[in-house]
Amino acid sequence: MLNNLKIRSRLIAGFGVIVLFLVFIGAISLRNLSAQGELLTDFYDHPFTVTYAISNVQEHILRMHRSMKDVVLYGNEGRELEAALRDIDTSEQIVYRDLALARDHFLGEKSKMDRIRELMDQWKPVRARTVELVRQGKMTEAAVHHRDFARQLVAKIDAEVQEVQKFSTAKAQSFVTQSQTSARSTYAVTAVLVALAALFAAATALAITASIVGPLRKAVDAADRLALGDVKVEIGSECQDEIGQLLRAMGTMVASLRHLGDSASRIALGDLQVVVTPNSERDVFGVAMQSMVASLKRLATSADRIAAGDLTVEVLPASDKDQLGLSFQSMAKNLRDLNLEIREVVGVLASSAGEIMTTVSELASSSAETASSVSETNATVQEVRQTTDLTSQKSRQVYDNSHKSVQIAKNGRQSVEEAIVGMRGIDERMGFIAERIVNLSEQSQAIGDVIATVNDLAEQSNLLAVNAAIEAAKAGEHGKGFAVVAQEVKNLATQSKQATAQVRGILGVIQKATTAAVLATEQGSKAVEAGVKQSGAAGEAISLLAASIEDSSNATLQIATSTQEQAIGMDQIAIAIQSINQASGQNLEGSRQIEAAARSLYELNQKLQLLVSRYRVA
Amino acid sequence: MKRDKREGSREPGGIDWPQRLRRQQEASAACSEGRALNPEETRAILKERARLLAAPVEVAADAGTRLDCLEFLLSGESYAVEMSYITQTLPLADFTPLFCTPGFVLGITNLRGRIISIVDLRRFFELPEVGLSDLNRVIVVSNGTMEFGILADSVTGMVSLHLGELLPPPGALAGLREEFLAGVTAGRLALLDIGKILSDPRIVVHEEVM
Repeated sequence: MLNNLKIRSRLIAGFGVIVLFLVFIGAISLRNLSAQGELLTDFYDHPFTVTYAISNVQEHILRMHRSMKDVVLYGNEGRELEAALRDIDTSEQIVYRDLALARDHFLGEKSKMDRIRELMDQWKPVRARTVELVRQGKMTEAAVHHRDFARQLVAKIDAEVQEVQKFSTAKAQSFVTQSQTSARSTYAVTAVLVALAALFAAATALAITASIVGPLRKAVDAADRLALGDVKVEIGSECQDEIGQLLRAMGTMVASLRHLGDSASRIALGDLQVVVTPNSERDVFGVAMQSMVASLKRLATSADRIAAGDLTVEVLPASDKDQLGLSFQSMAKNLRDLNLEIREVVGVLASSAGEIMTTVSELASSSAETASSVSETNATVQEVRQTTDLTSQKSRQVYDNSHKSVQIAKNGRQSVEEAIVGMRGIDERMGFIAERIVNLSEQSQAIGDVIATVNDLAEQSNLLAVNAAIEAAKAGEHGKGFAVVAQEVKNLATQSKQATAQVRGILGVIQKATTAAVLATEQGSKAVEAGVKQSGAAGEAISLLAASIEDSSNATLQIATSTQEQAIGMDQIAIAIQSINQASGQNLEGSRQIEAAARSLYELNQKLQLLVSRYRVA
Repeated sequence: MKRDKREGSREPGGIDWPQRLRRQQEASAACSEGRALNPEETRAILKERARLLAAPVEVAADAGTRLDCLEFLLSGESYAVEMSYITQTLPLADFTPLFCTPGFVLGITNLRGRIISIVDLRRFFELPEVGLSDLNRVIVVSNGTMEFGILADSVTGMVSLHLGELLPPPGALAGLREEFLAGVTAGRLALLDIGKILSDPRIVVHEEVM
């Protein structure tokens, strides 16, 4: 039943039921709420107001009583009395007002309230009497009066008030109990209803979901198989809802696909006779299949023509991405190009074969020329051989000469070494000479010492001569001869001094000469050293000369041996030329064979030209 | 020998070694024996010397006007002292300086047991000092009572002066020197009046230091 409804109707029905439930629960809750409100109003109206008013009454009665006590106690003070009386009046007014209020709202017996009022009325004259007594100054009587009448009355009033208060408190208690009961029941009912509504909503949701998801799953399975290319799947439904319609449409699509698949299979097997009719103008598959068949047929026709040798076929590709068409086009083009190239090659081949034939005849004539040249070469080789022998002899002589030169160089080196030894001897002698000269110089120093002594002696002699002259002068005339002698002695002393000065001069000359001699010896020694060095260099040069002469002698030896080898080589060349002569004869024979081959090549070329002409290119 | 070598180096050809050796032997022989001079040579040498030494003998025209003096050098100037006052000359070998004496007293010296004082006339005359040298001589003068030695740079020798040729001391010389100068010759030889010096009280040193 549910399956035949549309999904929209199903959803509306389910949601409607749930909304109804919610409205119902809301109404019940509202009703309970209003009941609770009324109860609260009653509670305020009756027990609360009464209790408040009675409490107020009680308080003011007590205040009046206390004020009366003040009147009795301090009545003689006029001001206090007036204040107390004012308080009493105010309180009395409040008491009467509140009593009236309590009476209106009181739910119990109203007589109790009336009785309190009566008692209040009775108390009034008693108070008046007491005040009067006070005013008269009879304080003791007033106190007695107050004690006898007022206290009793006030106690009665208080008892009555207490009773009323108790009653109203009890009433308030009963109100609270009633309110709590009502609230509890409302809560229970609402909870049950909400639970029921939730259950119902869940059930409805499950039912609707199941009715939609079941058929959809079937459709998804079918679509999955279709996506994998399985067109054998069977899809159908008796349901009248949207999913049923969807499934039926899918069934139709599958049938159409199956038909297309069959057609494609046949095309794949090469059957181009298949007729494909598109289901509608928008049937992309059908139209494509149709154009594919047409294009394949066109290609097949072109291929037939190419097979028949008509290379002029021009294949137009269906689009830029038509690989088969493009391949066909390029194949036809390539075949055309190939054919043209083959034609050209065949032409070239024909001319080449002709050239080969002429070349071969030239070859034959040149072979004859080669033979004559070879014999001339042979004669030349013989001449070269004789020259080689002569060279060999000469190089032998050079070798001997250089051997001798080496011996001479060795002798020269020995001489140089001896010269060096001699030079060294000279150097030693030079040293010896220098030593001796220095010794002589030292000896002449001793001579200088002797001269100094002689000089000193001359000096003293001179002095002595002076003294002698003095003595002679003292002797007067008798000492004249002595004075002459003294003068002579003085002269001798002077001469001695001069002689020593001369010797000193000569010694100076000797010293200078000695120094010059030593310097000359040193120069000689240096010259000898340089000589030694130069001799060494000369010896080295001679050694090098000897070595290089030895090298060249070795080289001449090598030249001699290699000329020997050259002679042998010449002999071998003569033999080789002989074989070249034979080979040129063979060449002649070979050229003849080549001529025959060229001819057959020409014939082959004729055949090829015939074959190529069968293809039409333009 | 050195000379030989030097000559040898100048010779263009080879060195004549035998000639060199011979010359050397001759030289060494001469050295060892001493050159034996023949009598003519010796005589010639002596004659030559005599000729050089010979002084023209002045005829003593008037002996009374001549004075024998000893000439000596002092600070580059020549002085003469009358021979009669001179006892002797001696080399200044050793002397002892004396304290508490005037500057002109150089010191005292021992002359064969006699102690004589040495006077430096350069200081006495206030002349520039040359300083002592090895050649310094002392000329001992005496007049019988006073005796001292005069310090001299060197003793030249004996001279005989004509008293008539003596000139008075030039005006440039002043003070002590002029006082003790007897006269000056044309050859700038100053004759000291040694008798005056010897008797001068200034030369007597009498000081007590206690």
